[in-house]
Amino acid sequence: MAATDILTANIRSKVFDAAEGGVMHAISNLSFSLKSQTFTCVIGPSGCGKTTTLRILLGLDQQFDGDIRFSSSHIMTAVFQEPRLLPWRTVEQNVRLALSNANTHVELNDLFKELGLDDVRQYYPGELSLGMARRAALARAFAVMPDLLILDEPFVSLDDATAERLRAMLLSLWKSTSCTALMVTHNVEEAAMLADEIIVLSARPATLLNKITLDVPQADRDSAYIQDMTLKLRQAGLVE
Amino acid sequence: MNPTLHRILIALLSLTCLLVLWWVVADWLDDRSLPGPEAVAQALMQEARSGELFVHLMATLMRVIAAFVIAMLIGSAIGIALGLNQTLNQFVDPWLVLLLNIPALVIIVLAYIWFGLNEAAAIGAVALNKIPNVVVTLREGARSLDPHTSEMARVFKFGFYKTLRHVVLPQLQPFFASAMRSGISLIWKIVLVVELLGRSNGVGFQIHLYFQLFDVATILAYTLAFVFIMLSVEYFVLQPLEKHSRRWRAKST
Repeated sequence: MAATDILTANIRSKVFDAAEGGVMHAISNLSFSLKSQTFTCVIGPSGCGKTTTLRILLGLDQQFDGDIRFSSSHIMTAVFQEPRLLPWRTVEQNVRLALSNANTHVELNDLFKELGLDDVRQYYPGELSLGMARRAALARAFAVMPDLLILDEPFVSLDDATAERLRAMLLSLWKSTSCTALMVTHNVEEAAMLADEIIVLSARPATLLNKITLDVPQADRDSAYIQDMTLKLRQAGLVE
Repeated sequence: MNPTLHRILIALLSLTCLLVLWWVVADWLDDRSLPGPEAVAQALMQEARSGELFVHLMATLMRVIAAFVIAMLIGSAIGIALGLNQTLNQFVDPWLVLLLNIPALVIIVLAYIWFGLNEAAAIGAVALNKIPNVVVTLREGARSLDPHTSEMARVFKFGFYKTLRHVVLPQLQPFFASAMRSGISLIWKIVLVVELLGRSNGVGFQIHLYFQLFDVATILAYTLAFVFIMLSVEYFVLQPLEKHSRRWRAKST
Protein backbone atom coordinates (compact mmCIF):
# COMPACT_ATOMS: atom_id res chain seq x y z
CA MET A 1 0.00 0.00 0.00
CA ALA A 2 1.61 3.21 -1.19
CA ALA A 3 1.85 6.08 1.25
CA THR A 4 -0.79 8.08 -0.58
CA ASP A 5 -3.29 5.24 -0.85
CA ILE A 6 -6.17 5.69 1.55
CA LEU A 7 -7.74 2.31 0.84
CA THR A 8 -6.57 -0.94 -0.67
CA ALA A 9 -9.11 -3.59 -1.57
CA ASN A 10 -8.24 -7.13 -2.43
CA ILE A 11 -11.38 -9.21 -2.78
CA ARG A 12 -10.41 -12.71 -3.85
CA SER A 13 -13.95 -13.98 -4.01
CA LYS A 14 -17.46 -13.25 -2.90
CA VAL A 15 -20.21 -15.80 -3.37
CA PHE A 16 -23.91 -15.73 -2.64
CA ASP A 17 -26.08 -18.75 -2.01
CA ALA A 18 -28.26 -18.97 -5.09
CA ALA A 19 -31.99 -19.43 -4.65
CA GLU A 20 -32.07 -22.72 -6.56
CA GLY A 21 -29.18 -24.14 -4.49
CA GLY A 22 -25.54 -23.88 -5.38
CA VAL A 23 -23.62 -20.65 -5.34
CA MET A 24 -23.43 -17.51 -7.41
CA HIS A 25 -20.00 -15.94 -7.89
CA ALA A 26 -20.40 -12.20 -7.49
CA ILE A 27 -16.77 -11.07 -7.37
CA SER A 28 -13.56 -12.82 -8.22
CA ASN A 29 -10.04 -11.41 -7.83
CA LEU A 30 -10.92 -7.75 -7.68
CA SER A 31 -8.07 -5.58 -6.47
CA PHE A 32 -7.69 -1.84 -6.54
CA SER A 33 -6.50 0.99 -4.37
CA LEU A 34 -7.68 4.55 -3.98
CA LYS A 35 -5.21 7.42 -3.97
CA SER A 36 -5.84 9.99 -1.31
CA GLN A 37 -7.97 12.97 -2.38
CA THR A 38 -8.90 11.54 -5.76
CA PHE A 39 -12.30 10.92 -7.27
CA THR A 40 -12.79 7.38 -8.56
CA CYS A 41 -15.81 6.14 -10.46
CA VAL A 42 -16.74 2.49 -10.81
CA ILE A 43 -18.66 1.49 -13.92
CA GLY A 44 -19.71 -1.89 -15.24
CA PRO A 45 -22.70 -3.84 -16.52
CA SER A 46 -25.88 -4.03 -14.40
CA GLY A 47 -25.79 -6.60 -11.67
CA CYS A 48 -22.04 -7.14 -11.96
CA GLY A 49 -21.44 -6.67 -8.25
CA LYS A 50 -20.74 -2.95 -7.94
CA THR A 51 -23.05 -2.44 -4.98
CA THR A 52 -21.73 -5.64 -3.39
CA THR A 53 -18.22 -4.22 -3.65
CA LEU A 54 -19.28 -1.02 -1.90
CA ARG A 55 -21.02 -2.98 0.84
CA ILE A 56 -17.81 -4.91 1.46
CA LEU A 57 -15.77 -1.70 1.63
CA LEU A 58 -18.27 -0.21 4.09
CA GLY A 59 -18.02 -3.26 6.33
CA LEU A 60 -21.71 -4.09 5.83
CA ASP A 61 -20.83 -7.43 4.24
CA GLN A 62 -18.08 -9.39 5.94
CA GLN A 63 -18.76 -12.76 4.33
CA PHE A 64 -16.06 -12.63 1.67
CA ASP A 65 -12.60 -13.93 1.01
CA GLY A 66 -9.98 -11.20 0.87
CA ASP A 67 -8.99 -8.13 2.80
CA ILE A 68 -9.68 -4.42 2.87
CA ARG A 69 -7.03 -2.11 4.22
CA PHE A 70 -8.33 1.17 5.57
CA SER A 71 -6.84 2.98 8.55
CA SER A 72 -9.18 2.94 11.53
CA SER A 73 -8.20 6.53 12.31
CA HIS A 74 -9.84 7.57 9.05
CA ILE A 75 -13.54 8.22 8.64
CA MET A 76 -15.48 6.43 5.92
CA THR A 77 -19.03 7.44 5.16
CA ALA A 78 -21.62 6.84 2.47
CA VAL A 79 -24.36 8.23 0.28
CA PHE A 80 -26.68 5.40 -0.64
CA GLN A 81 -28.78 4.92 -3.73
CA GLU A 82 -31.89 5.76 -1.72
CA PRO A 83 -31.40 8.77 0.56
CA ARG A 84 -31.96 6.58 3.67
CA LEU A 85 -32.95 9.50 5.87
CA LEU A 86 -34.88 8.81 9.06
CA PRO A 87 -38.43 9.90 8.15
CA TRP A 88 -39.26 10.71 11.80
CA ARG A 89 -36.42 13.20 12.18
CA THR A 90 -36.07 16.58 10.49
CA VAL A 91 -33.39 17.26 7.88
CA GLU A 92 -31.20 18.99 10.44
CA GLN A 93 -31.70 16.23 13.02
CA ASN A 94 -30.79 13.65 10.40
CA VAL A 95 -27.55 15.44 9.67
CA ARG A 96 -26.71 16.06 13.33
CA LEU A 97 -27.37 12.44 14.28
CA ALA A 98 -24.56 11.38 11.96
CA LEU A 99 -22.07 13.46 13.93
CA SER A 100 -20.10 11.77 16.65
CA ASN A 101 -21.11 12.79 20.16
CA ALA A 102 -18.05 15.01 20.52
CA ASN A 103 -19.06 17.09 17.49
CA THR A 104 -22.76 17.48 18.09
CA HIS A 105 -22.69 21.28 18.10
CA VAL A 106 -20.52 21.76 15.05
CA GLU A 107 -21.46 24.65 12.78
CA LEU A 108 -23.51 23.41 9.84
CA ASN A 109 -24.78 26.68 8.37
CA ASP A 110 -22.30 26.79 5.51
CA LEU A 111 -22.96 23.20 4.55
CA PHE A 112 -26.73 23.70 4.50
CA LYS A 113 -26.32 26.91 2.51
CA GLU A 114 -23.98 25.36 -0.02
CA LEU A 115 -26.44 22.53 -0.63
CA GLY A 116 -29.42 24.87 -0.76
CA LEU A 117 -31.04 23.24 2.25
CA ASP A 118 -31.23 26.31 4.45
CA ASP A 119 -35.00 26.68 4.12
CA VAL A 120 -35.83 23.04 4.71
CA ARG A 121 -33.71 22.33 7.79
CA GLN A 122 -36.82 21.83 9.92
CA TYR A 123 -38.69 19.77 7.31
CA TYR A 124 -39.27 16.05 7.59
CA PRO A 125 -37.85 13.94 4.72
CA GLY A 126 -41.39 13.06 3.63
CA GLU A 127 -41.93 16.73 2.77
CA LEU A 128 -38.94 16.86 0.42
CA SER A 129 -38.58 16.12 -3.28
CA LEU A 130 -36.19 13.32 -4.24
CA GLY A 131 -33.57 15.85 -5.32
CA MET A 132 -33.73 17.61 -1.97
CA ALA A 133 -33.63 14.35 -0.04
CA ARG A 134 -30.51 13.40 -2.00
CA ARG A 135 -28.94 16.73 -1.08
CA ALA A 136 -29.80 16.09 2.57
CA ALA A 137 -28.04 12.72 2.27
CA LEU A 138 -25.00 14.52 0.84
CA ALA A 139 -25.11 17.01 3.72
CA ARG A 140 -25.16 14.15 6.20
CA ALA A 141 -22.19 12.47 4.55
CA PHE A 142 -20.09 15.66 4.40
CA ALA A 143 -21.03 16.80 7.91
CA VAL A 144 -18.87 14.09 9.45
CA MET A 145 -15.80 15.35 7.52
CA PRO A 146 -15.06 12.01 5.89
CA ASP A 147 -11.65 10.97 4.62
CA LEU A 148 -13.34 8.56 2.25
CA LEU A 149 -16.81 9.06 0.81
CA ILE A 150 -18.52 6.10 -0.82
CA LEU A 151 -21.39 6.92 -3.20
CA ASP A 152 -23.74 4.35 -4.71
CA GLU A 153 -25.43 5.92 -7.73
CA PRO A 154 -26.43 8.96 -5.73
CA PHE A 155 -28.03 10.77 -8.67
CA VAL A 156 -29.97 7.97 -10.30
CA SER A 157 -33.59 8.68 -11.31
CA LEU A 158 -33.25 12.45 -11.08
CA ASP A 159 -34.02 14.64 -14.09
CA ASP A 160 -30.96 15.85 -16.02
CA ALA A 161 -31.02 19.43 -14.75
CA THR A 162 -31.28 18.36 -11.10
CA ALA A 163 -28.60 15.70 -11.49
CA GLU A 164 -26.37 18.31 -13.13
CA ARG A 165 -26.77 20.70 -10.18
CA LEU A 166 -26.15 17.97 -7.64
CA ARG A 167 -22.98 16.86 -9.45
CA ALA A 168 -21.66 20.42 -9.34
CA MET A 169 -22.44 20.58 -5.59
CA LEU A 170 -20.73 17.27 -5.00
CA LEU A 171 -17.61 18.32 -6.93
CA SER A 172 -17.30 21.60 -5.08
CA LEU A 173 -17.74 19.93 -1.67
CA TRP A 174 -15.28 17.20 -2.60
CA LYS A 175 -12.70 19.83 -3.64
CA SER A 176 -13.18 22.01 -0.58
CA THR A 177 -13.08 19.14 1.94
CA SER A 178 -10.26 17.35 0.08
CA CYS A 179 -11.72 13.94 0.80
CA THR A 180 -11.37 10.85 -1.34
CA ALA A 181 -14.46 9.76 -3.25
CA LEU A 182 -15.49 6.43 -4.69
CA MET A 183 -18.69 6.46 -6.69
CA VAL A 184 -20.57 3.72 -8.46
CA THR A 185 -22.50 4.91 -11.48
CA HIS A 186 -24.32 3.60 -14.54
CA ASN A 187 -23.83 6.87 -16.31
CA VAL A 188 -20.63 6.96 -18.40
CA GLU A 189 -20.98 10.66 -18.98
CA GLU A 190 -21.21 11.27 -15.27
CA ALA A 191 -18.01 9.30 -14.77
CA ALA A 192 -16.30 11.37 -17.46
CA MET A 193 -17.34 14.56 -15.69
CA LEU A 194 -16.36 13.63 -12.14
CA ALA A 195 -13.62 11.03 -12.11
CA ASP A 196 -9.86 11.26 -11.85
CA GLU A 197 -9.84 7.56 -12.36
CA ILE A 198 -12.42 5.17 -13.77
CA ILE A 199 -12.49 1.55 -12.69
CA VAL A 200 -14.25 -0.64 -15.26
CA LEU A 201 -15.64 -3.92 -13.95
CA SER A 202 -16.46 -7.00 -16.01
CA ALA A 203 -19.80 -8.79 -16.04
CA ARG A 204 -20.40 -11.18 -13.13
CA PRO A 205 -18.25 -12.36 -11.44
CA ALA A 206 -16.86 -8.87 -11.21
CA THR A 207 -13.18 -8.41 -11.81
CA LEU A 208 -11.07 -5.45 -12.84
CA LEU A 209 -11.33 -5.02 -16.60
CA ASN A 210 -9.61 -1.72 -17.02
CA LYS A 211 -8.46 1.34 -15.15
CA ILE A 212 -8.52 4.68 -16.94
CA THR A 213 -6.87 7.83 -15.69
CA LEU A 214 -8.31 11.18 -16.71
CA ASP A 215 -5.62 13.82 -16.40
CA VAL A 216 -7.60 16.99 -17.11
CA PRO A 217 -8.79 18.55 -13.82
CA GLN A 218 -12.58 18.38 -13.40
CA ALA A 219 -12.98 22.16 -13.49
CA ASP A 220 -11.27 22.39 -16.90
CA ARG A 221 -13.39 19.75 -18.61
CA ASP A 222 -15.70 21.20 -21.23
CA SER A 223 -18.55 19.42 -22.92
CA ALA A 224 -16.31 18.50 -25.87
CA TYR A 225 -13.86 16.73 -23.56
CA ILE A 226 -16.65 14.90 -21.77
CA GLN A 227 -18.30 13.81 -25.02
CA ASP A 228 -15.00 12.69 -26.39
CA MET A 229 -14.19 10.68 -23.26
CA THR A 230 -17.64 9.13 -23.17
CA LEU A 231 -17.29 8.10 -26.78
CA LYS A 232 -13.85 6.62 -26.18
CA LEU A 233 -15.11 4.57 -23.27
CA ARG A 234 -18.02 3.30 -25.33
CA GLN A 235 -15.93 2.56 -28.43
CA ALA A 236 -13.40 0.64 -26.43
CA GLY A 237 -16.32 -1.65 -25.73
CA LEU A 238 -15.65 -1.26 -22.05
CA VAL A 239 -19.16 -0.19 -21.16
CA GLU A 240 -22.66 -0.74 -22.46
CA MET B 1 -71.41 20.78 9.64
CA ASN B 2 -67.90 20.22 11.00
CA PRO B 3 -67.29 16.44 10.83
CA THR B 4 -65.79 16.31 14.35
CA LEU B 5 -68.79 18.12 15.80
CA HIS B 6 -71.06 15.82 13.82
CA ARG B 7 -69.34 12.77 15.26
CA ILE B 8 -69.55 14.10 18.81
CA LEU B 9 -73.25 14.91 18.44
CA ILE B 10 -74.03 11.43 17.17
CA ALA B 11 -72.04 9.86 20.01
CA LEU B 12 -73.95 12.01 22.53
CA LEU B 13 -77.26 11.06 20.97
CA SER B 14 -76.30 7.40 21.10
CA LEU B 15 -75.36 7.60 24.79
CA THR B 16 -78.56 9.48 25.62
CA CYS B 17 -80.60 6.78 23.91
CA LEU B 18 -78.82 4.12 25.96
CA LEU B 19 -79.54 6.05 29.15
CA VAL B 20 -83.23 6.46 28.26
CA LEU B 21 -83.50 2.77 27.35
CA TRP B 22 -81.91 1.82 30.67
CA TRP B 23 -84.26 4.13 32.56
CA VAL B 24 -87.39 2.81 30.78
CA VAL B 25 -86.47 -0.85 31.25
CA ALA B 26 -85.54 -0.34 34.92
CA ASP B 27 -88.77 1.55 35.54
CA TRP B 28 -90.82 -1.11 33.81
CA LEU B 29 -89.12 -4.03 35.62
CA ASP B 30 -89.16 -2.25 38.98
CA ASP B 31 -86.78 -4.85 40.36
CA ARG B 32 -83.71 -4.75 42.62
CA SER B 33 -81.70 -6.62 39.97
CA LEU B 34 -81.77 -3.62 37.62
CA PRO B 35 -81.80 -0.25 39.39
CA GLY B 36 -82.40 2.85 37.28
CA PRO B 37 -79.84 5.58 36.49
CA GLU B 38 -80.91 7.75 39.42
CA ALA B 39 -80.40 4.91 41.93
CA VAL B 40 -76.91 4.30 40.54
CA ALA B 41 -76.14 8.02 40.69
CA GLN B 42 -77.31 8.05 44.29
CA ALA B 43 -75.08 5.08 45.16
CA LEU B 44 -72.18 6.82 43.44
CA MET B 45 -72.74 10.00 45.45
CA GLN B 46 -72.93 8.06 48.67
CA GLU B 47 -69.67 6.19 48.00
CA ALA B 48 -68.00 9.44 46.96
CA ARG B 49 -69.15 11.27 50.08
CA SER B 50 -67.87 8.54 52.39
CA GLY B 51 -64.51 8.67 50.60
CA GLU B 52 -64.68 4.93 49.84
CA LEU B 53 -64.98 5.46 46.09
CA PHE B 54 -61.66 7.26 45.69
CA VAL B 55 -59.74 4.90 47.95
CA HIS B 56 -60.81 1.90 45.90
CA LEU B 57 -60.52 3.59 42.51
CA MET B 58 -56.97 4.66 43.37
CA ALA B 59 -56.02 1.19 44.59
CA THR B 60 -57.22 -0.34 41.32
CA LEU B 61 -55.66 2.38 39.19
CA MET B 62 -52.28 1.89 40.87
CA ARG B 63 -52.41 -1.84 40.20
CA VAL B 64 -53.36 -1.22 36.59
CA ILE B 65 -50.44 1.18 36.13
CA ALA B 66 -47.93 -1.12 37.84
CA ALA B 67 -49.00 -4.20 35.88
CA PHE B 68 -49.12 -2.22 32.64
CA VAL B 69 -45.62 -0.78 33.03
CA ILE B 70 -44.13 -4.16 34.00
CA ALA B 71 -45.89 -5.97 31.14
CA MET B 72 -44.83 -3.37 28.56
CA LEU B 73 -41.19 -3.29 29.68
CA ILE B 74 -40.67 -7.04 29.96
CA GLY B 75 -42.90 -7.89 27.00
CA SER B 76 -41.18 -5.36 24.70
CA ALA B 77 -37.69 -6.48 25.65
CA ILE B 78 -38.53 -10.14 25.04
CA GLY B 79 -40.51 -9.39 21.89
CA ILE B 80 -37.73 -7.34 20.30
CA ALA B 81 -35.13 -9.97 21.20
CA LEU B 82 -37.28 -12.73 19.66
CA GLY B 83 -37.89 -10.67 16.53
CA LEU B 84 -34.16 -10.20 16.01
CA ASN B 85 -32.96 -13.70 16.90
CA GLN B 86 -34.55 -16.54 15.01
CA THR B 87 -33.05 -19.40 17.03
CA LEU B 88 -34.12 -17.83 20.32
CA ASN B 89 -37.56 -17.32 18.84
CA GLN B 90 -37.88 -20.93 17.77
CA PHE B 91 -36.92 -21.98 21.29
CA VAL B 92 -39.25 -19.62 23.17
CA ASP B 93 -42.21 -19.81 20.80
CA PRO B 94 -43.78 -22.99 22.33
CA TRP B 95 -43.67 -21.38 25.79
CA LEU B 96 -45.37 -18.36 24.36
CA VAL B 97 -48.14 -20.41 22.75
CA LEU B 98 -48.64 -22.25 26.04
CA LEU B 99 -48.79 -19.03 28.04
CA LEU B 100 -51.16 -17.40 25.56
CA ASN B 101 -53.58 -20.29 26.04
CA ILE B 102 -53.58 -20.49 29.83
CA PRO B 103 -56.72 -18.77 31.16
CA ALA B 104 -56.11 -15.60 33.17
CA LEU B 105 -57.92 -17.15 36.12
CA VAL B 106 -55.49 -20.08 36.32
CA ILE B 107 -52.46 -17.79 36.38
CA ILE B 108 -54.06 -15.68 39.13
CA VAL B 109 -55.00 -18.65 41.31
CA LEU B 110 -51.56 -20.24 40.93
CA ALA B 111 -49.80 -16.94 41.67
CA TYR B 112 -51.79 -16.59 44.91
CA ILE B 113 -51.08 -20.20 45.90
CA TRP B 114 -47.37 -20.03 45.14
CA PHE B 115 -46.57 -16.50 46.26
CA GLY B 116 -49.28 -15.82 48.83
CA LEU B 117 -52.14 -13.37 48.91
CA ASN B 118 -49.99 -10.29 48.46
CA GLU B 119 -49.63 -7.28 46.21
CA ALA B 120 -46.62 -8.65 44.31
CA ALA B 121 -48.47 -11.86 43.42
CA ALA B 122 -51.51 -9.86 42.31
CA ILE B 123 -49.62 -7.44 40.08
CA GLY B 124 -47.28 -10.15 38.82
CA ALA B 125 -50.20 -12.34 37.82
CA VAL B 126 -51.84 -9.52 35.87
CA ALA B 127 -48.56 -8.61 34.14
CA LEU B 128 -47.94 -12.25 33.26
CA ASN B 129 -51.33 -12.41 31.59
CA LYS B 130 -50.48 -9.46 29.40
CA ILE B 131 -46.80 -10.15 28.62
CA PRO B 132 -47.40 -12.77 25.87
CA ASN B 133 -49.58 -10.32 23.89
CA VAL B 134 -46.95 -7.61 24.12
CA VAL B 135 -44.25 -10.11 23.10
CA VAL B 136 -46.18 -11.22 20.02
CA THR B 137 -46.93 -7.65 18.90
CA LEU B 138 -43.38 -6.33 19.40
CA ARG B 139 -41.87 -9.45 17.82
CA GLU B 140 -43.83 -8.60 14.69
CA GLY B 141 -42.47 -5.06 14.94
CA ALA B 142 -38.86 -6.13 15.31
CA ARG B 143 -39.20 -8.43 12.31
CA SER B 144 -40.36 -5.55 10.15
CA LEU B 145 -37.40 -3.30 10.97
CA ASP B 146 -35.96 -1.81 7.79
CA PRO B 147 -32.48 -3.29 7.08
CA HIS B 148 -31.53 -0.28 4.94
CA THR B 149 -31.98 2.11 7.83
CA SER B 150 -30.01 -0.17 10.14
CA GLU B 151 -27.15 -0.23 7.62
CA MET B 152 -27.17 3.54 7.48
CA ALA B 153 -26.88 3.59 11.28
CA ARG B 154 -23.92 1.22 11.11
CA VAL B 155 -22.11 3.24 8.43
CA PHE B 156 -22.54 6.41 10.46
CA LYS B 157 -21.44 4.61 13.65
CA PHE B 158 -24.59 5.41 15.62
CA GLY B 159 -23.76 3.05 18.47
CA PHE B 160 -26.26 1.15 20.60
CA TYR B 161 -28.11 3.95 22.35
CA LYS B 162 -28.46 6.21 19.32
CA THR B 163 -29.62 3.33 17.14
CA LEU B 164 -32.20 2.28 19.72
CA ARG B 165 -33.58 5.76 20.29
CA HIS B 166 -33.51 7.18 16.76
CA VAL B 167 -33.70 4.14 14.49
CA VAL B 168 -35.36 1.21 16.24
CA LEU B 169 -37.92 2.70 18.63
CA PRO B 170 -39.50 5.08 16.07
CA GLN B 171 -40.05 2.14 13.73
CA LEU B 172 -41.65 0.17 16.57
CA GLN B 173 -43.95 3.04 17.57
CA PRO B 174 -47.09 1.69 15.82
CA PHE B 175 -46.52 -1.68 17.49
CA PHE B 176 -46.09 -0.05 20.90
CA ALA B 177 -49.29 1.91 20.35
CA SER B 178 -51.18 -1.23 19.43
CA ALA B 179 -49.80 -3.19 22.42
CA MET B 180 -50.59 -0.31 24.78
CA ARG B 181 -54.17 0.08 23.60
CA SER B 182 -55.11 -3.56 23.80
CA GLY B 183 -53.05 -3.77 27.00
CA ILE B 184 -54.76 -1.12 29.02
CA SER B 185 -58.26 -2.50 28.38
CA LEU B 186 -57.26 -6.11 29.03
CA ILE B 187 -55.27 -5.28 32.17
CA TRP B 188 -57.94 -3.41 34.03
CA LYS B 189 -60.39 -6.23 33.55
CA ILE B 190 -57.91 -8.76 34.93
CA VAL B 191 -57.01 -6.47 37.83
CA LEU B 192 -60.65 -6.62 38.95
CA VAL B 193 -60.44 -10.40 39.04
CA VAL B 194 -57.26 -10.47 41.17
CA GLU B 195 -58.89 -8.01 43.54
CA LEU B 196 -62.02 -10.10 43.78
CA LEU B 197 -60.00 -13.24 44.54
CA GLY B 198 -57.38 -12.01 46.93
CA ARG B 199 -57.17 -8.34 47.81
CA SER B 200 -58.92 -6.31 50.49
CA ASN B 201 -59.37 -3.11 48.51
CA GLY B 202 -59.94 -1.92 44.97
CA VAL B 203 -62.93 -1.89 42.66
CA GLY B 204 -62.89 -5.69 42.27
CA PHE B 205 -63.03 -6.12 46.05
CA GLN B 206 -65.96 -3.70 46.35
CA ILE B 207 -67.86 -5.43 43.57
CA HIS B 208 -67.37 -8.72 45.37
CA LEU B 209 -68.65 -7.13 48.61
CA TYR B 210 -71.76 -5.62 47.03
CA PHE B 211 -72.39 -8.81 45.10
CA GLN B 212 -72.77 -10.57 48.46
CA LEU B 213 -75.12 -7.79 49.58
CA PHE B 214 -76.96 -8.01 46.26
CA ASP B 215 -76.52 -4.26 45.85
CA VAL B 216 -76.57 -3.88 42.06
CA ALA B 217 -76.72 -0.06 42.18
CA THR B 218 -73.35 0.21 43.94
CA ILE B 219 -71.82 -2.46 41.68
CA LEU B 220 -72.85 -0.41 38.64
CA ALA B 221 -71.66 2.79 40.33
CA TYR B 222 -68.14 1.39 40.76
CA THR B 223 -68.10 -0.08 37.28
CA LEU B 224 -69.14 3.16 35.59
CA ALA B 225 -66.71 5.22 37.67
CA PHE B 226 -63.81 3.03 36.65
CA VAL B 227 -64.84 2.87 32.99
CA PHE B 228 -64.86 6.65 33.09
CA ILE B 229 -61.32 6.73 34.46
CA MET B 230 -60.04 4.30 31.84
CA LEU B 231 -61.66 6.30 29.04
CA SER B 232 -60.00 9.43 30.40
CA VAL B 233 -56.63 7.67 30.33
CA GLU B 234 -57.29 6.68 26.72
CA TYR B 235 -58.33 10.16 25.59
CA PHE B 236 -56.06 12.36 27.67
CA VAL B 237 -52.91 10.24 27.97
CA LEU B 238 -52.64 7.56 25.29
CA GLN B 239 -54.12 9.42 22.35
CA PRO B 240 -52.14 12.67 22.82
CA LEU B 241 -49.00 10.56 23.28
CA GLU B 242 -49.66 8.74 20.04
CA LYS B 243 -50.42 11.96 18.22
CA HIS B 244 -47.13 13.41 19.41
CA SER B 245 -45.10 10.43 18.24
CA ARG B 246 -46.85 10.46 14.88
CA ARG B 247 -46.39 14.18 14.19
CA TRP B 248 -43.89 13.56 11.35
CA ARG B 249 -46.40 11.39 9.51
CA ALA B 250 -49.00 14.13 9.36
CA LYS B 251 -46.52 16.37 7.58
CA SER B 252 -45.06 13.78 5.23
CA THR B 253 -46.78 13.02 1.97
